[in-house]
Amino acid sequence: MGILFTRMLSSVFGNREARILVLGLDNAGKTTILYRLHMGEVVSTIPTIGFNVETVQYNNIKLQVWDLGGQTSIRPYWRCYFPNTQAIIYVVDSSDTDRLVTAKEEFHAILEEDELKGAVVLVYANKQDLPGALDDAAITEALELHKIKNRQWTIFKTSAIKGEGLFEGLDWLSNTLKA
Amino acid sequence: MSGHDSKYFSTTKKGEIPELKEELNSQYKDKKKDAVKKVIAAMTVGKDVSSLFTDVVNCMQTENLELKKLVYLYLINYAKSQPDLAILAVNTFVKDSQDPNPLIRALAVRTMGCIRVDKITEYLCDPLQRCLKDDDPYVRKTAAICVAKLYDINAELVEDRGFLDTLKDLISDNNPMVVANAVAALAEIQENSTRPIFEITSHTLSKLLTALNECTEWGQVFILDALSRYKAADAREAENIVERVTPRLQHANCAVVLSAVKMILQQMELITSIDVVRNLCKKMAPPLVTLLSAEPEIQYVALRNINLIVQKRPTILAHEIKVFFCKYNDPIYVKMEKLEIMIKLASDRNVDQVLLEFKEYATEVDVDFVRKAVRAIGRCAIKLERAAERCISVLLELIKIKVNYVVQEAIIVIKDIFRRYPNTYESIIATLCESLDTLDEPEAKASMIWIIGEYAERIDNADELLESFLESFPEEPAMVQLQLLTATVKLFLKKPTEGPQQMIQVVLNNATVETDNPDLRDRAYIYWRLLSTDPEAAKDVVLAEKPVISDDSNSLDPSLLDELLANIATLSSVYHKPPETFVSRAKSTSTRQDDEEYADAVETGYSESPSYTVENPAVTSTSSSTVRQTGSAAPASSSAPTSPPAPVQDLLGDLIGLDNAIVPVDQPTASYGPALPVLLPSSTGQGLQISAQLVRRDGQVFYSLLLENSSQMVLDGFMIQFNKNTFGLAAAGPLQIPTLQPATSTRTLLPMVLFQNLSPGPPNSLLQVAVKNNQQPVWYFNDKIPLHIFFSEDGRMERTSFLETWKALPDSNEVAKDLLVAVIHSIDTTIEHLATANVFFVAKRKNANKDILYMSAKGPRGIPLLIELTAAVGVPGVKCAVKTPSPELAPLFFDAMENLLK
Ligand SMILES: Nc1nc2c(ncn2[C@@H]2O[C@H](COP(=O)(O)OP(=O)(O)O)[C@@H](O)[C@H]2O)c(=O)[nH]1
Ligand SMILES: [Mg+2]
Repeated sequence: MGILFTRMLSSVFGNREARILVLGLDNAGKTTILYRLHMGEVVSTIPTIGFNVETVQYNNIKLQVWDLGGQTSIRPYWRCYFPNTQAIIYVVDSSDTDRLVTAKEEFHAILEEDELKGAVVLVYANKQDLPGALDDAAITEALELHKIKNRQWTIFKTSAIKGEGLFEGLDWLSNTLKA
Repeated sequence: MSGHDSKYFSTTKKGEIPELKEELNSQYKDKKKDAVKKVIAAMTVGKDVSSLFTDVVNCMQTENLELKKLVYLYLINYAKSQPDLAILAVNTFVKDSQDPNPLIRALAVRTMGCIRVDKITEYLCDPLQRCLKDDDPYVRKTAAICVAKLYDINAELVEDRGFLDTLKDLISDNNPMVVANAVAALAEIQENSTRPIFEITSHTLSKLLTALNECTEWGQVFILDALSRYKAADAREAENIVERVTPRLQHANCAVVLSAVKMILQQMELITSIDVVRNLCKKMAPPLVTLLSAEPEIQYVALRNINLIVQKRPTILAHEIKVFFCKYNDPIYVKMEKLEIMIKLASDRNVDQVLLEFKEYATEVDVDFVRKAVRAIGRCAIKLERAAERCISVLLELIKIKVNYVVQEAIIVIKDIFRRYPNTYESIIATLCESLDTLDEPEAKASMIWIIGEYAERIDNADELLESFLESFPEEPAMVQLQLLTATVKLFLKKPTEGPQQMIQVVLNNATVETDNPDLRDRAYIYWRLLSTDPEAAKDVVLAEKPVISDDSNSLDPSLLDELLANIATLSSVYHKPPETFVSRAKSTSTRQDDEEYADAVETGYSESPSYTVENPAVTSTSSSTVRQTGSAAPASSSAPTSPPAPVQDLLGDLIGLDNAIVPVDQPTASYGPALPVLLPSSTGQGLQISAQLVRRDGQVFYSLLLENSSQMVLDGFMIQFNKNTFGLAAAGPLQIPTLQPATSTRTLLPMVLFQNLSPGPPNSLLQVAVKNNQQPVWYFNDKIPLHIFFSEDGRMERTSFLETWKALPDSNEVAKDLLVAVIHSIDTTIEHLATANVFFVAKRKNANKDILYMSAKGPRGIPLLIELTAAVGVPGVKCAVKTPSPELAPLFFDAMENLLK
C-alpha cells in the first residue's frame, strides 16, 4: 500500500519514470547521444559490446535510458531488454546510405515485437552535420515510417556532435509519455 | 517429522524465479538490491538461478559498490553456463576498468580473470592492458594475476598482446606487492608452458631480493619459491642470496619459513665453504623447531617436510631430537611422523634416551602406534651397531609383557636384526620360541618360521616346532606357506633324519599338487628337483650365506629426495610424491608450441580447448594422458606445479573484501588426481597394483581404475569381470587398457551399466572384481559399492511434493540412525557439498540448538529417498532419518551419508 501511495503522489507532481531503449545499427551514434543527454558533453566512444544505462532527468520525467550495442553479434540480445519499455529512440546514421536498408529491416523487426506494442517511437536522423547526410524526409522514406500503425512516432534531424535536435526530440517524448 | 512442520515447506504461488525476475527489474534501488541478494543466497544453496542472467547483469551498472560486488559474484558463477549472454557484461567491464575508484577498477579485472569464457576473452584485453599500466599498485597487482588466468584460457592471445613482456616489466615495479604478484603469475604461466618464459636474471634477482623485504607474507612465499628455482652462477652468488633470505626464517608465517628453508637448501648445494654450510644449518634449526609448537595440522606438515630435510642434512636437527618426543596428547598422525624422525635422528649419543621413549610408547593403547614403536626399536638396532644389544634387551623386556601384538611385532624386527648381525644374538631364540603358540599374524608367523629354519641346527626341537605348523598348511596365508616350505627344506638339509624327511614329503605335496598359488608351486618344484638331483647343490643354494642387510630408515632414493626437497612447502613434500604423480595438468604446452614442434600431437587428437578440459575433466584426463605418453606432446615438467592457485585467491580477495564470499574454485583434478583406494596391493599382485573406485560423472557410473606395473614383465590383454551384485553393476564395454610396460601405470574410466547380473538376497555393498591379463593369474579383489553413486541429477524435489511423498509413506518406512563420525561444520557448505553428490536441499528449520535439514535424493531405479538430518553445527554426530519406499536400502544409505558427511 505504501508503494502505491508514493506512486500516485509522484504522478500528481508529474515526477514520473520511464524506461527508454536506444536502438540502431552500430556506429549510428547511440552512445554519443546517451552521454550528450546525460552529461551534456561529447565523449569518445568505442563500439559498445554490451550496454550502457544512465538516467536522464528532463521536463519532470526521469528517463532510464538503455543504450544497447548495435553489432550484429549483439542485436539478438536486444529482446532481453524489451519488457516494460515505454519508448524507443531509434538512431540512424543519415550519412551511411549503404546501410539504410539494414536499418529499415531491423527497425520494422523491432516494431513487430509483442513486448514493444505499447512503446512510442522517436527516430533520430543523426549526423546531420556530415556532408551528404539525408534529411528527415528522406530518412522517413528510407525507413518507411509511414507504414507504422497504431503507434505514436516522430522523426527529428539531429547532430550528437553539435548537440542539435536532441532535446527537441526529448520534448516530444516527455509530452507524449505524460499524456 | 510432525504435522506442524509443514509450514517450512510453504511455497509462494507465483514461483520463486518469476518473482525474483520482477524484483530485479524494479525501478526501486533497494528492492533491486534485495533481489540480487536473494539470488546470491539461492545460488549459494545450490539452486539454479542461471535463468536470471540478463536480469542480474542489467543491475551491474550501479554506483552502489555492494550491489556491484554481488553481481560480479553472480557472473563468476554463471558466466560459464551462459557463455553467449556473457558478452552483455563486456561493456561494463570496459567502463569499470576506467572508473575513478581503484577498488572498482581492480574488482573489474579480478572478475574478468575469473570468468572463463573464451568468447569474450578477446574483448577483455584492452581493459586488462590499461589496468596493467594503472597508476594504482593495487590495480596493477590484480591485473598481473589476471594475465595468468587469461593465459590458461587463451595462451596465444596473451602472448600476441605482449602481456608476458608487460608482466616481466612489472618485476621492476616500485611496489613490492606488484612484484610479488607478477612473480606468482609468471611462475604459474611457466608451469603451463614448456618454453622458458620466466627466467631470473641478475637484474631481476636484485629486484626480487629487495621486494622480498617489503611485501606481504604471501608475496614473500611467491618470491622465495621463484628464488629457489634460480640457479646461482657460483658459490659466492649463492651465499649472497642466502644471506639476504635468512631473516625470513624468523617469520611468523610457517609458509614463509618453509619456503625460506627450501630456498636456502637449494642454494646450499652450490655453497662450498664448510663453515658457511654449518652456520646455515645452525640457523635453520630454531625456526623448524618453532613449527612444532603450532596446531597439530601444521605440525604434521612440518614433520613431513622435516622428514625430508633430515634425510638430506641430518646435522640441522641432530641436537634437537627431544622436540620430536611424542606427547601423550599428540594426535596419532603426529605421533607416527615424530617416530619416523626420531629413528632418523637416533645416534650413539642419544640412543639411550630414545630407547626409553620407544619403550614407553610400546606400552600405550593405540595399537598402530605401539607396533610402530616396537619396529622403531628394531630399526635403531639395525642402524646403530653399538646400541644393538641395548635395543635387543628392550625388545626382550617387551616380549615378557606378553601383549600379543607387541610380541609379534618384536619377532618381525628381531628376524631383521639376526640378518644384520649374524651369529651374535641367536641365544635369544629360546625366549622367542616360548611365544610360538600366540602368533596369529602372517608376517609374525612367517618371521618366526624363518628363524626356526635358519637356525634349525641350534634349536633342538626345531622339527617339532615346524611340524606344529604343518597341520594347518593348506589354510595358511601364502607368505606363511612360502616360509614353511623353505624352512622345512632347510631343516631337512641340516638334519636329514627320518622326521624331517617325512615332513618334507608332506610339505612338497601340499605345495605342489594341493595348491593353486603359482609362486608356491614354482618354488616347491625347484626345491624338489634340487633335492632329488643333487642334495649338495641344494645345500649350496638353500643354505648359502646371506648378505648382511643394512639400515633402511633413510629409505628415499636420492634423486627422488632431491626432487621432493625442491618442492618443500607444497603438497608434494607432504605426500612424499613428485607432483606429476598426483597433479594432472589439463594442458601443458602453449598452442603455438604445439604448432611448431609437436605437430603430431594435434593429429593424435590432443585437445587444446580449455573449456573442454575444465568442463569435462574425466574425459581429458584419460585421453590427454595417454596421448602424452604416446605422442610425447607434453614432457612432464618436473618442477613444482603445486602451490600458486590457492594464494592467488587470498591476494585478490583481501582488499576488495570478497574473502567471505563464495568463489567457486575450478576443480578439474580434485576428484580425479589423488588416491584411489588400493584394492590389490602389488605384493599380492606380483608387482601389479590395482586401485579403483566407483564414481559418477555426468550422470553415468564409471569404474575409475589405476593400474601400476612394478613387475619386470610387460603386461597386456587386460580383462575385467564383476561378480553378481545387489545392483547388477557390470562393465558396459571391454576394459581399454594399453600394454603396460614395467614401471608404468595407466588410468582409465570404465563405463558401467546397472541391473545386468543381479544377485538375490538383501541388499549389500559387496562388489567382487576379477582382473586378468595374459601374463599373470587371475586376480580377485573386493570393492564396496557406495550407494550415492546412483543418486541421479534429477533428484531434487519441490517442497510440496516432498511433503506429499513423506505423508503418503507409512511410518514403518522411516529408518533412522545416528552417524557418529559425521559432522556438519556449516549448513551452507554441507548443503553445497551434498548437492555435488546429488543430495538436494529441500528445506531447513531450527529446533533449540539443532538444525534440521530436509533433503531429497533419487536412488537406483528412481527410488525416492526423503532425508531428515538433525545436528548441532560443529558437533560430531548427525542423526539421519530416511523415508523411502525401499527401506531395505537404509543401511547402505547410511554408509553413504556417513561418508559424505565425514
Ligand atoms: N559527425 C558526427 N559524428 C557522430 C555523430 N554522432 C556520433 N558520431 C560519431 O560516430 C561514431 C560512433 O558513435 P557511437 O556513439 O559510438 O555509435 P554507436 O555504435 O551507435 O554507439 C563516433 O566516432 C562518434 O563520434 C554526429 O552527430 N555527427
Ligand atoms: Mg555504442
